[in-house]
Amino acid sequence: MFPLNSKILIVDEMKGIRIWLQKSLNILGYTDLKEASNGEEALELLKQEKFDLVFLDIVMPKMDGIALLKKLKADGHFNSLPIIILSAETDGQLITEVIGLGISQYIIKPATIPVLQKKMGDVFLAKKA
Amino acid sequence: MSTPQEFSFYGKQIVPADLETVLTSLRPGEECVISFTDVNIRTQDFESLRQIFQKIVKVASRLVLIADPEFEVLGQGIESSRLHFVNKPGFSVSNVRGTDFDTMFVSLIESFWAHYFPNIQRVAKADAPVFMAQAAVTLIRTKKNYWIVLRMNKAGLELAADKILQFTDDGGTVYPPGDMVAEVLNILCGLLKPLLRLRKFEVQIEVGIPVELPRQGDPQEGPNVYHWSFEISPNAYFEIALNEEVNHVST
Repeated sequence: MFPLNSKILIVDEMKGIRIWLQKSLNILGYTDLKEASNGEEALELLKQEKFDLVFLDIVMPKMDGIALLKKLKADGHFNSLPIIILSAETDGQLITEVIGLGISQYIIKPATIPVLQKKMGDVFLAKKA
Repeated sequence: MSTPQEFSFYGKQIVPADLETVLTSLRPGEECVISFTDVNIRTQDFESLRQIFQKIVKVASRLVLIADPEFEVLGQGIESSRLHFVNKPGFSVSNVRGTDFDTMFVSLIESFWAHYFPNIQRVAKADAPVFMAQAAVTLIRTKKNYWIVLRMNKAGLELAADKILQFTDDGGTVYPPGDMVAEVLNILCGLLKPLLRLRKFEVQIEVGIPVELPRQGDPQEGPNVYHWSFEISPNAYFEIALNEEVNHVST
């Protein structure tokens, strides 16, 4: 599992989802959290600070999750950054496309805390391998 | 981008023949998406199921399994970067292209509430209001807008906070009821938005800041019914009623 001092970035258009995810991660013991409401904001934060994990939504204004993913994966500074997609999108083709871009995990909303915990654990183990 | 082969299974017990169908339909090197909704994986022939699944992983260039977390047992012992599990919530939503908007909308709301509030009886339109023990949702369609009216008593709200938001008692934080209801609706909206976009409905759905309104509405609702309005735009908002006392109200 990611150490409890890990720095996590939450990127979601909806404030309610950001709050919910923050509270869920707090319950799991993570307190070093930052948030962004679109891809542009997220990219700025990622350039300023080093994050250990990103939770990323797909549908967002200005720069959506897929556009941000493409930028990150094309950038040597970020291409190994673990990214968990947390989205309500259930379309198989879209999910396959996003997985093909090299994300760590994909979770369909609404997720439960045990699912978040399990997926974070899987990502951490894969990173260590 | 190539188009993956997609297979969906709904409301049944999965048997080896189902996965055989996937295996025989799949061409080597193709991407494959298998989605299970309301499917029971507990079968006596689980080992056969797992063996066929292994074969599918070998044939596909990428296999995405969209299912409840319990389906991950299918992949036990399979070490392959081509296999991806996508967890989804345990309730189903009609996502069939061509489904008309009303059907999809009602299906989504029914599934959502039936999952989180098992004692929900049904979803009704505005002309047939339904009251329930813990929560009720009414879909109202006007010429231009859809409204969701949610009626919820205190027990229902606490259940929502516990089951959906998983806010646990941290020894001091008290979440205002309006905030909790807003969070529940936010999650519901998060599910609705992409489904609407898939059908080219470019709508704005936002749950605004909850504002408790003066007592209003149907005088038959009885005392102690509290309302919150979530105004999104002048013609679109959610209205919430929280009833602190009534536990069982019949139509």
